[in-house]
Amino acid sequence: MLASQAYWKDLSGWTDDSEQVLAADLLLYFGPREMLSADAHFAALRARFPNALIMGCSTGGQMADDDVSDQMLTALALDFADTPLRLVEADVRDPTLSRAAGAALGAQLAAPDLAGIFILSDGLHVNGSALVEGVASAIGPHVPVSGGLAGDGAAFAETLVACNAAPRSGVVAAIGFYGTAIQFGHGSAGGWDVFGPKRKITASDGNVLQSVDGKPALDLYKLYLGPEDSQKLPGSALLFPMRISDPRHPDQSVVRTVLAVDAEAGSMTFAGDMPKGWTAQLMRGSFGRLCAGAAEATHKAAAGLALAPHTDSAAILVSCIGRRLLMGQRIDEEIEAARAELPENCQPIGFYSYGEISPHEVSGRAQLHNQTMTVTLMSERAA
Amino acid sequence: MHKLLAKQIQKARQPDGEFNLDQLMELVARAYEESEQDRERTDRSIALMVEEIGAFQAGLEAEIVRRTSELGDSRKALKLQNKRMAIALDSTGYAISIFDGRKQLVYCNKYFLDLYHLPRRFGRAGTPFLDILSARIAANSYVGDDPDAYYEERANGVDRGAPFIDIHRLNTGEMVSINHQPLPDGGWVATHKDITEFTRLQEELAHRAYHDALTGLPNRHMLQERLSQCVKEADGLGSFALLFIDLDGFKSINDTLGHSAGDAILKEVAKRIEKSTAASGIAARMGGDEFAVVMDVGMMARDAHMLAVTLTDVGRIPFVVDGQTVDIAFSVGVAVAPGDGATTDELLKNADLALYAAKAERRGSYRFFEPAMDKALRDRRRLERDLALALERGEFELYYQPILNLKRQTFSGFEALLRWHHAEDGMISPAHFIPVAEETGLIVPIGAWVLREAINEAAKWPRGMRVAINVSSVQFQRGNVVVTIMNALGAAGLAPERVEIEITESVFFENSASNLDALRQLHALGIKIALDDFGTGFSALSYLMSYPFDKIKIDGGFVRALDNALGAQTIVRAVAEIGHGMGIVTTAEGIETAAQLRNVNAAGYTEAQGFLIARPMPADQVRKMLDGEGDGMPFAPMAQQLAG
Repeated sequence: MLASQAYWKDLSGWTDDSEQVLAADLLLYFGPREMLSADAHFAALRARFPNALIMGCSTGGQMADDDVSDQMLTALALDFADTPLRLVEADVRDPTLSRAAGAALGAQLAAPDLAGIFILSDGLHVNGSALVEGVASAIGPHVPVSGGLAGDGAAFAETLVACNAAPRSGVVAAIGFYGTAIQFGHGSAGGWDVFGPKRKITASDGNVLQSVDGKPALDLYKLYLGPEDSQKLPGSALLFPMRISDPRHPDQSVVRTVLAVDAEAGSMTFAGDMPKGWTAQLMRGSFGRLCAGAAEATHKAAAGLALAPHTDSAAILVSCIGRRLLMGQRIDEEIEAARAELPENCQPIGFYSYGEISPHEVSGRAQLHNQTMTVTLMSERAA
Repeated sequence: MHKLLAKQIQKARQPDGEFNLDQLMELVARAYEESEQDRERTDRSIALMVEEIGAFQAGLEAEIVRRTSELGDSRKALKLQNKRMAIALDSTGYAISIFDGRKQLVYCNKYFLDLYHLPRRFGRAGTPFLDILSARIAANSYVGDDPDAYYEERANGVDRGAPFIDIHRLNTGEMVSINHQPLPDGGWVATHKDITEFTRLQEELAHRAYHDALTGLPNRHMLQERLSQCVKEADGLGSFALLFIDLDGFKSINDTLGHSAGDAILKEVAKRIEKSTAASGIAARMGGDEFAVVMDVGMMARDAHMLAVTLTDVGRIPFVVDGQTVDIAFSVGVAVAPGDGATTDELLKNADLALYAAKAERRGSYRFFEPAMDKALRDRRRLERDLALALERGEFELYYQPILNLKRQTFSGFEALLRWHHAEDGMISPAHFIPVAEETGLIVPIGAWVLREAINEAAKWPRGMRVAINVSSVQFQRGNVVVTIMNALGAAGLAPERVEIEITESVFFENSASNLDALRQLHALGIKIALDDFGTGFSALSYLMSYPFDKIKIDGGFVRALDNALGAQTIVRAVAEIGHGMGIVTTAEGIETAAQLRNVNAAGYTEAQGFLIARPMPADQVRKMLDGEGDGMPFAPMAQQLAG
């Protein structure tokens, strides 16, 4: 497998290191929503990589080397020696149909030699956990699924996904990797710390949280955010993710992040389900712990792959917009920490998302994560 | 240099190597701002968290206070509930004990401790079952004379794991019923009931159910059970006997001496029978004056024979009640198994038939069953059945026998005599069916029919002709003779003076007071009362004094005896003289020869009846005979007969 990075900073065009990737099978690209909505970029990419399957999405910032950029596109071209690919898409305009959309995608990709799936989904019109469940229901629990939800900076207005066509809103793109040559390593970690009392979800509907301990969920957030940050909702709510767990399985917790708020109803929409009766606890981050989380995610992914020296590999880093919001200028430190754990000869690409998809560390079942750094590491075995 | 500052400097450096100071300043300022914001957020979070945790803690404390108070309340409620439960359980009348899977007492009520004479401290929860067992042995409230064996038995008994009911007779005397119900935890609930009194009552009831209260002898049920036992034991081969004993003459004792005298006699009878049979079987009182004996299997016909003789003998020994000597006798019927019956029913029936035969024979006799008795009984049953139907079938007819007035030598009237034309058997003798009608009570409707029919017929006769009608003592006892006669007279328009009622002395045996009263009422109406069959039976002369009869009819037996018995003449004359002396009409019945007629005429009898004079005849023949004749129809052959 050959991997090559390219950046598009402005109209001056792409910068890249190799001509070899022109023959790429797959091109992943990420950028700010404003730049992606200009169809010209897709046309240019298509012209440059005529044989590649192209998938990409809008983000909350792209990782470029050790930094984050909001002003350029990043791309990763991948050329596989022995791995068939299949790219499919589904529409998600109604979050309640997320599971069905996931199941449809899974059904299209399912095959005995399906080795893994990578998903890019609209970040606002989807119930991410339902989507992932749908996919898993069609392909079974043993095929690894990873990916992320598209972002829109701190605006939360519109997200775009490209699936071998110009980027659009309300789209989910999923690519399947087949055969025995391809191998994956996955890692996901947060580094957030719970704080404050354990609370109980007293009213919810799917991913809409209505009340906690009998009080409107939004009131709780406003209390903790303070008057100034409350003005910046829903983005500012990312500063306080919520850890939830089924009281029957308190050790299998997931972290949820806010996508939208309804000031009138006092409710908040999260990136995944908020089941009634579950335990919820607020989380907060500190720079050092978030960086350590990012490093841990990469470390796990690399450990899962166990590559021979000098093997080419690629990494897709999907980190949560919430982390960037909290860390501000020091977000570089997270990227640095994550990159430091990558294997040699690894080409990374990454973006800040509205939700991360990665197999559960213990069960292996695909799950939606929030407020994490999620790393998908891939490589082909020598024939 | 701080890592961030180094990065900021790097970012502010322009491609030409110069610093963009403004940009650097902005980055630094923003970093301060971000840092400030983060610190503020952290402070705020911590303050809120402290507040929230404080509130949470206060909530918890309040909750603890509330729960503690609740717990106190429920403790009180529980205590009250336990007290109620204890009172309720104590008032059930059951001793109750509950043990857990470790065989330790969970609960017992006060009654449990009382029942087993246990000290209070053994009622404490947690007391081991084996300690309670030891305490019971110490208190002697256990069963049997081997405490170790009892201890073993009970200690293992509770482990049966299934419900059971035991009944124990404690050494302290109580009978205790224990209902043991295992619990899922290996423990059990046992309810103990003191059934001492209940058991005593049960035994008493059982005794009562099988014994006669008056004599203390086994009763009919027990006799039947014993009989069934013997039938089983004999198995169709072994010999044993059933004897029925009936007292002759007992009914009149009850009537004349009263029931307490009757009871005293029955007790004495029971004693005698029991004594006679003690070695060979059991005696029982079947009810009334009937007794029975079941002789054990192995007793042969000759043993039964000996017993029957003994019984009839002891029956003859006079009974003395209240200083009076009473004369009764035992009639005995015997059935010997297996010859006389293989089942209890057959034996009972056949012993009864034998008794019936014995009673029919004579007082104080015994009879062994014979198959012919069975036929006799069947014949009798048929007779009873046909007799019951004879009235409605119109099989009865009245014949009338003329009564001759010896002085006037004219007929003074007719005696109505009942005839039964049986549809299949032809004419049946009154001597045969009247006793049956009396025994069954059928004489009441039949007698009423006779009264109506005879009175109705007499109303068609010339005015001087009287009709004599026989009325049974049973009619007096069980029918309303006075009303029947008055109604009949009214309906026929016949003067009471033309009716003569013939009764026998048996009218005075039972209910004599009310019978006498009825006779007086009839007499007051003008009806004549005749004493029939005089000279037979007891023929106590006192009867003649107790009631002013209009007529005495000497029994035909004496008249017939005139021909060859010397004493007969004296008696016949004496009766005539009594009648003459008391101013009572005398009638001689059964005149069959001219000599007899002359004899009674010479003796001074007022009237005579008999075949010689005229046979009984149907009503229409009487009417023909009377046709054209006036009162006092002359009897033509009279002079000739008297002269003969």
